Amino acid sequence: MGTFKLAGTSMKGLFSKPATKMYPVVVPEYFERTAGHIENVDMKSCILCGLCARKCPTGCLVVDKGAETWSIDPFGCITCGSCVRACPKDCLVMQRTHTEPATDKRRITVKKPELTPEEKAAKAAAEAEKAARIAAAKAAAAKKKAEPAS
Amino acid sequence: MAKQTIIPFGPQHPVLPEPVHLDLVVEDETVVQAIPRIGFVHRGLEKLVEKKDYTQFVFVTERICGICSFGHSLGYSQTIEHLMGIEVPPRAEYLRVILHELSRVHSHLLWLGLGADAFGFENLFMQCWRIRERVLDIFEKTTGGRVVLSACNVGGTLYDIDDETLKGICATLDVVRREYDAILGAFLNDYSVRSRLEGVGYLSQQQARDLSIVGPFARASNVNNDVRCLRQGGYAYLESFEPIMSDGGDCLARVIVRAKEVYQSIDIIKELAAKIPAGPVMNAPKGKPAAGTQASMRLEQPRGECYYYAKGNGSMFLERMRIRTPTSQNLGGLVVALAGCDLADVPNIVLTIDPCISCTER
Amino acid sequence: MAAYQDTFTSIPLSELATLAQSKKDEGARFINIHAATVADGFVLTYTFTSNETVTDNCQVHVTADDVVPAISPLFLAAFVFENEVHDLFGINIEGIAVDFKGDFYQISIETPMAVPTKPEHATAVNTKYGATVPVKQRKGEEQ
Repeated sequence: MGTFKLAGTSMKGLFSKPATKMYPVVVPEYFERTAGHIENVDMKSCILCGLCARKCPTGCLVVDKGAETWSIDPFGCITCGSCVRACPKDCLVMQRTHTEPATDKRRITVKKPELTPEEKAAKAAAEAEKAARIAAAKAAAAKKKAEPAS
Repeated sequence: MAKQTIIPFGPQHPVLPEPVHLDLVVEDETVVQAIPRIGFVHRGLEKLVEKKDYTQFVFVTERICGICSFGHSLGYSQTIEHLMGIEVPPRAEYLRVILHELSRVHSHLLWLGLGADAFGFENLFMQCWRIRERVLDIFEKTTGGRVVLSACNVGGTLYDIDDETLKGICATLDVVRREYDAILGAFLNDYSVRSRLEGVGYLSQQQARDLSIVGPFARASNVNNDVRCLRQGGYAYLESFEPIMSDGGDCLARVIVRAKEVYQSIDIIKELAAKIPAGPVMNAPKGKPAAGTQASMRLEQPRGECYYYAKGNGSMFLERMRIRTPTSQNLGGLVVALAGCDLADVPNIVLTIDPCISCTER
Repeated sequence: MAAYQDTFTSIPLSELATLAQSKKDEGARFINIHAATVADGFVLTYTFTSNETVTDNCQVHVTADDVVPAISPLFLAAFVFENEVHDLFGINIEGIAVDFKGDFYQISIETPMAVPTKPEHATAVNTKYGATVPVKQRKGEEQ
């Protein structure tokens, strides 16, 4: 007949706290690398190159250079991390928390922020300087062509 | 003269992890013949290779099955590396074998729980799965996913596991081993478990050879076709490897083989974690598979030997990708093992081949 | 690292039955059968291993009209793959040990794997099964 082989484990189970957590009442503590959801945390540095959208295996990322937006379909994302590795400016981050259940599938779209007046001025100044450099280089090249070869 | 009835088993059945249908031809409680039907989880994943390029397809192969997920991404990556001649860094090979053996531990614990549930021992089922949670926590800590890891890609692994985490993994595996010791006695020595499993679904060694069955199903009938004996990839760095064999040939022998393989996997992980070299973990693939090239690969998954075939055509998309999984090979063995058994033993026998039907019909 | 050894050999369809018999006689283990679509038909690959070390892949070129002898009377485990190849590609295999006669996978279109999605397959074999799916140029194919 034999003894009850699971006696030790069952007795321990009677007097210790349960192994399960009452999710979602008790929020679990996720780990650092938990594949939760993808977020574009640094839209300012995003150059809208579209590498993330090209690498994505499911096609859930859409980058619109004209409208300056980056959007993701969170229910299409398989959290593989290809976009995070592909981004040249490290704007994309894999967050730990999972996408909340919802009643409809909606896309999350973020737009590049408007530049502040100082940034606009700095950008204009940089572009003006670049145009001046190009004009000077063109003038020097034309002058060299006009002179006889030495 | 006995009357023959046909009883349908599945596709919905409490013991089955995945849907399979068997038409059991029964004569007064004895099964005379079993006719299998599959196709309930057919997703046509092999045709998807025309839409996803070869670096993206690895994520599709991971999702063929939830239990052998890492094994498929590993086998696919190895096939493409063989096709394109890509060298994998040694640290990546160690990490891949460590993750694959962890995958084997989790798969066998899952199966032991399902086996216990099949003969009605629900307490044991829950204890096995509670131990398995520790392995899933290891997966989540190192790669981010509990079941689908997204950790292996062509050229190496995507995540590095530092040495401190490896020590933590070994410590957790010691805890797993202690808890597993406590419950293993119930599988091997308990009177009621033995009476349900002993002598049931017997396959002799010659039958096992004729039916070309693979995995623990074959090793329990003393037929060794363990691909790990070929010592490919990270397995070449092991001191020695002896597959676990048994010559019982019945359900109890299969349970014993799988139960002992958990210990063997834990030992392999500890051995490799102790001597893992430093270095990079990814050698990113450049270019595409050349036109007209083809390659095949075999890998030992928890359920048996898995065969992969890839054919390139000069573009980023593969021409053909074939994955032959162990359960499709074992279906012939299942049909023969079921002949002549009692109706009440059918769930036990179906479970002891460790059916992974989502793999069978990708 | 120990290198994986596999061989690929091509044999004509007439020699398939003798190959299967010789593999059975020498005690080789059967591994896999699968098919792939090529420009003028299909290529069936039969995989065996004689000594558990080298994987032998034997490839047979067939067209949709060829009758292929089944090897499942010799290797019972092959019935799964022969039924699958018949259902998904439409290759005519005769003498399968457990024959489902086209009903193994309950699929909604005939021979889905043989439906042409590439330009070079469009003029081939699949018209026998009425595949009228228009052929699209895939983005990225010309890379």
